[in-house]
Parts: sequence; C-alpha cells; structure tokens
Amino acid sequence: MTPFQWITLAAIALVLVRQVAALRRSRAGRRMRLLGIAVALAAGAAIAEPDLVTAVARAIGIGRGADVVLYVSVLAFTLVAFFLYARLVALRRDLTEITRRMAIEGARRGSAAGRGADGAEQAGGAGGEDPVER
Amino acid sequence: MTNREAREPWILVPAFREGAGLRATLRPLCRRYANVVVVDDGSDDDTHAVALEHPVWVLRHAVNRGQGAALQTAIDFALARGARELVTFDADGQHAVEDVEALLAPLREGRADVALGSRFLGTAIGMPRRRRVLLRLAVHFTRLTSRIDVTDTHNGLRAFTREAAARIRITQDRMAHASEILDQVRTARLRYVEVPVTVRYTPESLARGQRSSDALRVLGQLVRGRLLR
Repeated sequence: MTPFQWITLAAIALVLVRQVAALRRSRAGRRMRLLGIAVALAAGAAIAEPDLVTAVARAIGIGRGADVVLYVSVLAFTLVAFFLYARLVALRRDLTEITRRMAIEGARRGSAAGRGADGAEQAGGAGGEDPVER
Repeated sequence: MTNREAREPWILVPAFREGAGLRATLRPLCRRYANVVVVDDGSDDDTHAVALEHPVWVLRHAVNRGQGAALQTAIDFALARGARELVTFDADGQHAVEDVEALLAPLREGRADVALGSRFLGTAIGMPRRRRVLLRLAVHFTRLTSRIDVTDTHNGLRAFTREAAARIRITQDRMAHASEILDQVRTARLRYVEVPVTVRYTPESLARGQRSSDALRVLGQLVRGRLLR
C-alpha cells in the first residue's frame, strides 16, 4: 500500500467510526449520516482497490476510472451547490420574517414633543391599545 | 384601531441611513397625514432617533434586510391597524407630498386598485444623464420580463387599496422587489394606472446614489431576482 492509501484510509476509518457512533446515539439526521457513511465506504473501496474504479468505468462505458471519479465529483458538487443555494434563500426568508415580527412587535410612536416616546405614548391614539398582532 | 387609523391613508416610508435628512421628508408628511409608518431597515446612524421626533409609527429591523423587506413590514403593520389606503413613499426626499393625493384619486374614484407614480409621465428634476439611461434600461428590462406596461418601473411612490395590498407579498428583499411588485400586480389582475409625479434629485440623494458600478450591481440583482422567481 502506498503512503497515500495509508493516510486516507486511516482518515476514512476514523470518520466512519465517529459517524457510526453518532448514528447509534441519536436518530437525528439519520438519512444524511447513512448517505455519508455510504460515500465514505465507497471512497475507501476506491482508494484501497483502484482497479475497482476502472472496472466500474469499463462496465458503464467510460474509458478511465479517473474520468468516472471526475464526472461523479462534478455532478455531486453541482447538486450540492444547488441544494445549498436553495437553503440559503430559505434561510434569508426566515431571517426576514423574524426581523419583521420583531419590528412589528416593537413598534413605537414618535412624538412631536421631542425625543422618543415613552410607554405611555407607545400605543398611540385613543384607548391605549397595544400594537396589533396579525 | 382608532377611527383615524381606519379612515385616513397610511404613508409607508422605508428608511435606511437617512439620518438627519429624514426630517425634511417627515415634516411635510406629518403635517398632512396622521398615519405615517417609518421602517428603519437596520440603520447604523440616527435614522431611528430622528424618526421618533415625529408623530409617526417607528419600526426597526434589527438587521438590514433591504428596501423590499422594509416595505412589506410597513404594509403588514398598516394592514393590521386597519389601513384602507396605503401609499409607499421614499425617505430620501425625492418625492413630493402633494403627489400622494394624486395617487389616491384613481383609487377613490374606483378606477384602479393600484396607482403607480411615473417620473417619465411627470417631472424628473435634476436627473443626471447616466441615471436616466440606466433607469431606461431597467424599465425596458422589467417591461420585457414582467410584461407589464409601465413607464417608470422603479418608482417608490405607489398607492394600494387595502385589498390590493393584501394580495401582494414582497419576497425579494432587495432591489428586485420593484419588479416583483409589478409582477404580482399583473398576475393578481389588479387594475393599475400610472400617475405623473415629480421626482427631485437633491444633492444629498445624488451623493448617496448609485455610481456606475453600483448601477451594474443593481441590474445584476434584477436579473438574478428575475431568474430565481
């Protein structure tokens, strides 16, 4: 085994041990963890036995194993990028929503008299009603 | 909600880093209108404090979310307090208070659900050449993509009836919100009219305004916002 194989396989083994332990601990994120473990196992197999990748490549009609790895990597990266961007957009919307709620709940009434309004003027108008919730 | 809140129009003013200049905008507004909402979009200057010196509602975003977001916050607040007429109004002093009534007229006459201000139908005072070109480009782009026929797509002066405002939901926090509003007006089949208004470019608003690089960025945001919708 080459040094590269030693190092990377050791790292993968470590990751696997931790992920499996985490899997047994809690049910949260089970699917993602299983997917991660599968990927780690596949990567470990490919590194330990490079001929495996070549065999797969031949089987699906692509010349070199390295090409298969490249294509899979590009595809995986693109998918991940889209997924992350979608999550980012959703996160932004949530952030705005929270900011909005806080702003509405903390609404204050200014006063021509001078700086700021104290609690007595906060409700504004007659009746002292609270800023309305939707 | 009080009677005044229900009867009188609501003026919605999203503000970001307007500082002391906000006084010039709020003072004439407060003289004529009792229901003014200022949404401070997370400014780091005294915008919030200046707003509180006037008899207006002051809301504050804890973090900056963009003009579109501030507008929607103002709309939500006004609707919750029973607003029947809502008018969006820029904080930077470019708009004229007199134009508010002109925008409300078609709504009150029952001719439209939404009134959109247009500086190209009206007057643009002191508009720099480059800005005009850029705006024309933006108008063209928005007309193509939103398929709505307006002459001024990025005018912050708009009026909505309660029903119309309730049908709109601004999700584009930043610059793309203007074309999003037009989009929704069209898909919700709201009746709209354009009203000539005056836009005055003051030295302050120009100084803060967009340089060429900013302009490109805005166009980029427009395109990106359009693609993602």
